[in-house]
Order: sequence, then structure tokens, then C-alpha cells
Amino acid sequence: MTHKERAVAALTRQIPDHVPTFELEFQLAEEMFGKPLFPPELELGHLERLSELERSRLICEMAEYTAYVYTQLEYSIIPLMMVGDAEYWEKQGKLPPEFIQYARWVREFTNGEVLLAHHGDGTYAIPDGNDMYAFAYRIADDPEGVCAEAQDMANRAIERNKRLHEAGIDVLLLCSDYCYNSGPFLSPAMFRQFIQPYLYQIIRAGKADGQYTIKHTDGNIMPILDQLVECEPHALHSLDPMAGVDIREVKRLVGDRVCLCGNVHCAAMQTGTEAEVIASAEYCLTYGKPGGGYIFCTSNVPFKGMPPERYQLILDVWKRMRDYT
Amino acid sequence: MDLHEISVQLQAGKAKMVKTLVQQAIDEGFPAQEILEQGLLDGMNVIGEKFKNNEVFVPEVLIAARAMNQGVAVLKPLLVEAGVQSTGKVCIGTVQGDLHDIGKNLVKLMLEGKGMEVIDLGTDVAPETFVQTAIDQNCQIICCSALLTTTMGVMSDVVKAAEAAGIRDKVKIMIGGAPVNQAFCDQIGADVYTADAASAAEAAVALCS
Repeated sequence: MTHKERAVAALTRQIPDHVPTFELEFQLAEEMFGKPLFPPELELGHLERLSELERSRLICEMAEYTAYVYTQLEYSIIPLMMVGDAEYWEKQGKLPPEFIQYARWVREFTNGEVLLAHHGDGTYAIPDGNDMYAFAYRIADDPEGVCAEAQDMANRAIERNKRLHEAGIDVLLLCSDYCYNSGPFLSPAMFRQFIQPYLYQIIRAGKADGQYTIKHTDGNIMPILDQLVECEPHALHSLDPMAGVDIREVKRLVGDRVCLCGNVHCAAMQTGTEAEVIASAEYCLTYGKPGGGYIFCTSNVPFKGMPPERYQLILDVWKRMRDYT
Repeated sequence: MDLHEISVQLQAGKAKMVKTLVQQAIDEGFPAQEILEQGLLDGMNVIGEKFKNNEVFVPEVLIAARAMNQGVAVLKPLLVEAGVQSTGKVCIGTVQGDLHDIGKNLVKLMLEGKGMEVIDLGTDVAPETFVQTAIDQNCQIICCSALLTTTMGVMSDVVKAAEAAGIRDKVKIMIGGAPVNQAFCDQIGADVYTADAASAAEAAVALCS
């Protein structure tokens, strides 16, 4: 099987030759492969000063390096970073041309044998700081207005995801966080009113275009697990063990309706013992893998500061236990 | 009127109604402290307990707190006039290097809901700022919040700064946040760890009583 076939099998809850892997982001490229995925020359402020030829060359090199890193890691889904002005969509209603170029090159360098992914959510996430007060008050004082804004956000996300589809993005990573460790920010009833219908629309539109959808949220999702699954994403991501989410239980409850990704304990990877890290990875494979519909990954991302050897440790467990045959 | 109605309306987040009812209670001659305790604080206590049990969620807490603040605003001149004291004085902040304030804000709301006076130092607060505020404002408790494993160590610096300033025996230090636990609290020599905002408020009241 190619990486793509393997990922598609897992996302559609079939049994591939072995469990695929990927991460929402990989922040250890410099530590493990010698340089960061994103070259500083392509950051905004520098990018504009480059000639078209220089820009194209750097994007091509970045794409080649992206393909190299993820091929070495054996990822079946490659999360593409935004290249160019991230606000371009808001300003021009188009994706940045640099991103389109980058996606095309990565596809060429991977021979079309992996799925390409990018962020595509457009639902309310947990608001920060003082925004949280304003949001809560609006929910109480102007629920219709909140719903109208949610619809507008969903419409814009759907339009943007269509452009991503045209640019060759196969997988939408829907990354609005909804939950704390203790539970959802919104009550289940509020979630059903202010988020769920719009999440469903975004997922349905992506699927209509042939895209795969992975819904990510940190935290304890159990009080809204049924609502997330009702939105019919291909996969649920994170399954945050720091928030008490247990892949064994989630698999039992909804494993016949949605692919599961994650649950390898990120905090243990940072501060736990090697034995704890190995135990977490083994647990996930033991209870996530049976019957297909499982993608191996951490419960967050291999973040900057995580010891690279700890990430390598879970990849070693994955290689040892991943085969279905 | 029944002061319990203030509590009920506060729990529902009906700010205007709470304000009206508090004024009505004043007009009917209820003592300010009674209105505060049996109406406003009772409502926030119920909300805090329900929040702890996942029966209400953050927006409902914030909306209830807004209702309480409106009721307190009406009541405040009378409370001052009657010489009603707060149940304790606390300074609270998210530790240096950490900009996350959701948890800290929730604890603040719950503390106020228990009738405590809270000095909010915001985020990214240096250990010396916690300690100096506690000295200047005569706080009985310093509350430290952190979300990151990389910043939780600053809580230890707060404890050390309090020791260095010679106020460790006069002030209790409470800690909370996603990465910390009782073992960490014991390790750094803080006084109290709580896992959630409502428990933090209960613990603070116990420390001040």
C-alpha cells in the first residue's frame, strides 16, 4: 500500500496493511533533520524582497525538504504550513500563490503518494482572556447574533476549503479547540446551538468535494463526543489523555463510526519516564488498532522543546506494533 | 420579598432582574449583609458547586458573575456604610512567562463569589510583584496560576520570594493550573493546591476563617 492508500483505509475505518501515522504539526525538524521546515527567507518581511525566481526556488527547496522529512518519518498525511500572507484570503478571497506553488511541489516530490492536509476549521474555539467575557455575554444577550456570525464563519471556511481543494489539499484539519481538561467550554446544549450545526456544514461541504476531515480538539471531549461524531468527520484527533480521554473507551463507544487519531501522552513525552512513554504508545496501539480506523499520533504535536529521542521512542513502538498481518 | 429569589435570578444570569431585586430588598429594609449573603453569595455558591460538578459551564459562570457584580454595585454603598468586611483578601495572577488567564479569571470570579476581596495582577506576573502586593495590600493569600510546564517552576520562585521578604508565615500561597498537582505543591513548599476554581475558592475561605 502507498501512504495515501493506507491513510484512506484508516480514515474510512478499513484495515490497512499497517497503522498509518502523521502529526498535525511537526516542530522537531531542526532537531532531528538539521534545519526547520520553514526557511526564514520565506517569512513575511523577507518574502516580499525576493525576486520571483528566488521565491520559486526557495519554495521548491522547502517543498523538497518537506517531502524528505515526512518521507523519513513515514507519515501518510503531510500537514502543509501556510506559505505567503496568511491574510491573503481575507484581503483577496484567494489563497496566497506561494502556498499553491508549495502544495504543488510537495505533491510532485511525494509522487502523489501521500495525503496533503491543511487547516480548515471555521467554528468558534475557546476564546482567550477578555474575549471570553464578551463571548459569554453575547451568548446570553444576543444568541441569534452569535448564530448569524457562526454561519458567516462557516460560509467563509467552506469557500476557503474549496480553494484548498483546488490547490490539492486532500485533508482538512479542523482545529478549533472546544474543551479544557475538565470538560467543554460550552455546555453540551450551547455546543449544539452555536457550534455543531456549523461544524457539520463545514465537514459536509469538504466531503462533497472529496476531502477527508479530521476534527481536532484538546481537552475532555467526552460530554460532547456524541455531537462531534454526529457531524460525521472522518476522524477525531487528540483524544487527550491529560484530560482523561481513554482511547479504549472512545473506541468502544464510537469506533464503528469514526477513525481515531492520537492519545499518545504528550506530557509524558516531555516529563515522564521512558517506560511511561512506551506504555502510552503501546496502550494506544493495543486499543486503537483492532478493526482498523486508527492513525497513530501524539495527543498534541511533537512540540518545540520535546526531547527528539522521546518522539523517536514512540515511533519505534509504532514500527514494532503497527502491522495488521 | 424572599431573598432566595435574588439567588435564583443570579444563577440564571439575569443581571437586570438581580439589580432590580437587590434594590427592592433594600427598599423593603433588609440589611445589606443579609442581601449579600442570602441573595448574591448564595447564588454564586450554587453556581460554583454546579460548575465543579460539570452541571454548568464557563459561560454560565461568567454570566452569573456579571449579575452578581451588578447586584453588588447597588449594594456597595450600604455595605461600606454598615462596615461589612470581606471574608478575606487575595492577590492573584498568572506567573511570569505565562499569558494564559482563563483559569486565573475563573478562580477570581469564584473568590469574589465567596465575598473575598481580590486584587488581580493579570498575567506574566513576577514573583516579586506577588510578594510586594501581598505586603502593600495586607493580603492573606497569594494565588498563582500557570498553564505551561515551562512556567510552573516560577511558582517555586514565588514561595522563595515570600520567604526572602520575611512574610512566609503571614501569607498562604495557593497554586493551580493544568500542569500542577499536589505533589508539585508539596515539592515547592506552597500551601494549597486545588484542581478547579470552585475548590480554590472554598480552600481560600477556609484559610481565611
